[in-house]
This record gives sequence, structure tokens and C-alpha cells, in this order.
Amino acid sequence: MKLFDPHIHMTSRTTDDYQAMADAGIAAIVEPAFWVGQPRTHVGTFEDYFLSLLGWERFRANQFGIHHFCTMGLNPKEANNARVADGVLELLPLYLEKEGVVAVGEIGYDDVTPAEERVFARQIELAKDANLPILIHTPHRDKKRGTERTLAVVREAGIAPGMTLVDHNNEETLKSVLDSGCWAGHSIYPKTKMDEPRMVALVKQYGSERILVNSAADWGVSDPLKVPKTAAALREAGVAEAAIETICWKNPIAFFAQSGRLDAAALERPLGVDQTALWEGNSVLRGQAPRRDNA
Amino acid sequence: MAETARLTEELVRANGAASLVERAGAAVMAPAGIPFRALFAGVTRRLGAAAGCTPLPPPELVSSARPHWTLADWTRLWLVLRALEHVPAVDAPALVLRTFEGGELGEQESVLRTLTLLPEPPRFTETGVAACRTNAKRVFEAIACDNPFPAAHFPDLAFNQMVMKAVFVEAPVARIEGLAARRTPELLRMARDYASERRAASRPVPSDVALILGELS
Repeated sequence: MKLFDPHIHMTSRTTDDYQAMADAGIAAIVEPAFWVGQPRTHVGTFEDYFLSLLGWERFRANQFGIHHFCTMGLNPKEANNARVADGVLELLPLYLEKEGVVAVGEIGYDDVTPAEERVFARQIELAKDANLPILIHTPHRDKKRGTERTLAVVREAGIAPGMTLVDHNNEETLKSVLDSGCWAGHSIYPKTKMDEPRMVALVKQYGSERILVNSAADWGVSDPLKVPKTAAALREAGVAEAAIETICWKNPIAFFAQSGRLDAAALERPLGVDQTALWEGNSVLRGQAPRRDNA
Repeated sequence: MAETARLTEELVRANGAASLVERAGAAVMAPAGIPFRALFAGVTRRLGAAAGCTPLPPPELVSSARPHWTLADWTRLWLVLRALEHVPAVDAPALVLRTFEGGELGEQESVLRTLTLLPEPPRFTETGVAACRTNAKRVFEAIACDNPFPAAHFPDLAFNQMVMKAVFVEAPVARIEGLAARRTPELLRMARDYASERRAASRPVPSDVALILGELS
């Protein structure tokens, strides 16, 4: 079964991770624009970050046979820095036009401040203008209230719930997200957020419709193999193969294909790997024999 | 406030920072320049072994200063106080924010610990609130713990988020100053909701949640 990790920050992961993900069956990923562990202090560093997601990171993923898509947006943490936020909002209409950008995200609330709300609402408008779905980060602190407010903002903004993926759900938020008609993401983490046994319980209770799982792996302690591990946990718990495939492959495709920039049929075909390829003169290899699938 | 700068200068001169004070003259007059920022960055290295000592605060400052402030903290405080004398008042918040943003972890700690001794401290609330978004626990603790600034100046929303983040990053809630007076119904709700979320996940509720709720003393 092919697997899709719809939320992973590969820019802070290694080529070993890419190899392990490919070996575990991950065939496609979405890399959302987020923060990078510490606040950026210039608009220009965002622009270079966006360019790296579209350029070098996509090339790196492809070198391991993995389809790479990304989302563009200003994350809520950095939305609180008005100097940076306004400049990034100005850039976004450009970056939302780029190939392989399948949503506006991660957007939403973190501290649930008025500044976050302004930037969140503005980006929903940008998404509507660009006919893109939105990927929403929900806060870790004050999660339940933050998620309720998130759903209220989505309702008021008039974006279709079906174009909205609300991420980082838990036992106390999932029902309201599903009831709203939005898609529901779950970040499977080693210690915090969600874990595999709890995810199994949620799937047994709520089924597979509009439910996604991801690793949200980044620069912290996290695990880029959480999608395959969750698929295995679901299988072991007796969840039907069709439901597992819906959650771990078909749902992310159906959701992000609404962008019109993700070809579901192309994802079914293996991405031929040619490790002799260079990106702006750079190879991911360091003296290894290049793999060439079609040679 | 010139008095705070004078007392601070006396303290740092007496504890081994005299030569650094001597060489600061031109740099502090142009705090937007690289020489000032470089001097600020190099404090710990220039002070050598003395940087980490914790001099007793002068009696006049003892209500705001804290005994864990190091000579490096005091020296950086003195640099900021002098720099603030050379920028228009309207630019003061931006100078402190930029000094914080441009700092490595130790520089950031010094800025945050000593915010309370800057002239008209409420002007620097944005720096304190921004600091709470750090991922570095020692930087977070520099603003959240053993520091009178947040309780005195943070708006409710920022204060509540800081307290909840302390639980998340396991910074000791017991060391948040002025918590008792800021224990609003909204903060209690956030703490109760978090406890509920942990129980729903079959995970233990951190004992510091009870501290926020006033169930422990």
C-alpha cells in the first residue's frame, strides 16, 4: 500500500529519513510552510524559505522517489510580528501561484491573539482568491477553545468546509471538526499530540471519512515514519485495509487535489529516480553510486 | 532613571567589568551600529570567569533586581541603559526588541531578566511577550520565572499563555512571580481544559496544573 504523509517539515530532516520513508512505502508528502524553530526577523528569510520548499526540497524528495508538494502561508506564531507579517502577506499571492503549491498553510491560531486572527482571516481570503484549500494549525495550548474559534473563523469567512483541513486534532476536538464538515488531521508524535493507540481508538469510533494522519516531523524530537507506523497499528487492531488506505493515501489526495495542482493518476505511478540529476549544480549524493530507475 | 544607570555602573565596575565600561563609550552613543551590538554580544567573553558571578544588588534596586542575575546580565543592563540615553524615546522599544531578537541565548536571557529595570518598563512589553514564543527553555524561563515583569506588565492573554506554556515546557510554575494576583477565571478555565484534555488522552496531568488552580500551595 502506498502511503502519503500530508504534513512533514522535511527541510529539517536528513536524506536517511527520506530513504527510510521511501522504504516504508511513503510515496508522496506535503511540506507545509511553518516556522523554523526560532522567529525570523526579516521578510527576506521567508522568501528564501519559500523558495527552498519549492526548489531544493522538492528536488531532494524526488531523488528518493517521493512526490513533494507544499503549502505556502504565514504561520500563526510569526503572525504576531507585524513588521514581518505584512511583508509576508504581500509576497503570498506570488508564491500561491507556484507549481506544486496545493494549499494555503499552515495558518490559524497559536496564542489566539488579535494579530493572529487578522493574518488568519486575510490568508483565507487569499486562498479563496487562488481557489486553494487551507491547512489549519490548531494551538497546542488552550486547544479546545482555540479549535472552536478556528471553526467559527472558517464559518464566518465563507470558505467551504470541504476545502478546509484542520490539523493536530485530539479526543476533544475531532467531533466538532468532523461535524463542521472540515477534514481532520492528526499529528502522530512520540510523546505529545496524538499517538498510535489513541489514533486507532479514534478511527474505531469515527471511521475513515475526512480523517488524515501525519507525522508533523520537524526539527524537534519527532518521527518521519509515523504514517507507516500508524497504518501498521490500525492493521494490527483489525481495521479494514480499505479504511487504512482511505486514511493514509486516498484522503490526502482527495483533499489536496482540490487545488487542481495534484494529479491523482500521476501519484499512482512510481516516480522514476535519477540520482545523476543535479539541482543548480548540486547533487544529494556524496560519492555514492547514483540510482537510476530507468537507465 | 539615570540613577539606575549610575548604580548599575558602580556595581559592574566594582565586580570586574571596569575595563569593559571604559571601552563602551563610543559604541553606546550609536546603539544602532554594529560596534554596540558587537560589544553587547562579547560581554561574557570579555568578562571571562567573572561573567557568571552573581553580585549582590545595591539596596536601592533590590525590589526589582534578582539575586540570580549574573555580572554579564548586569553589564548588559548597563549597556542598554546607556544606549537608551542616546535614542529618542519613540525608538526605545524597537532598540530593546532588536537587541533581544539579535541575541544568542545568553544575550536574550540578559535582556529579559533585566527588562524590569529599564526606564518606563511597560514600553518593553512587546519584547517580553515575543520572548515567550521561544523554543529555548532557558530563554523562556528568563522571562517567565523569577521575574516580576510579566505579572506587572503583560496583558491577560499573554500572561495566561505564558503560564500554560510553562506547564508545556516544564518550567516551574512555582517560580512565576505574581501568579496569585493574576489567577483569573480565564486562566483557571484554560488550566481545567488542559487537565481534561490530558485525561481524555489517558495521560497524567502535570502537578503544576494544580498549582495554577490554587489546589496546591
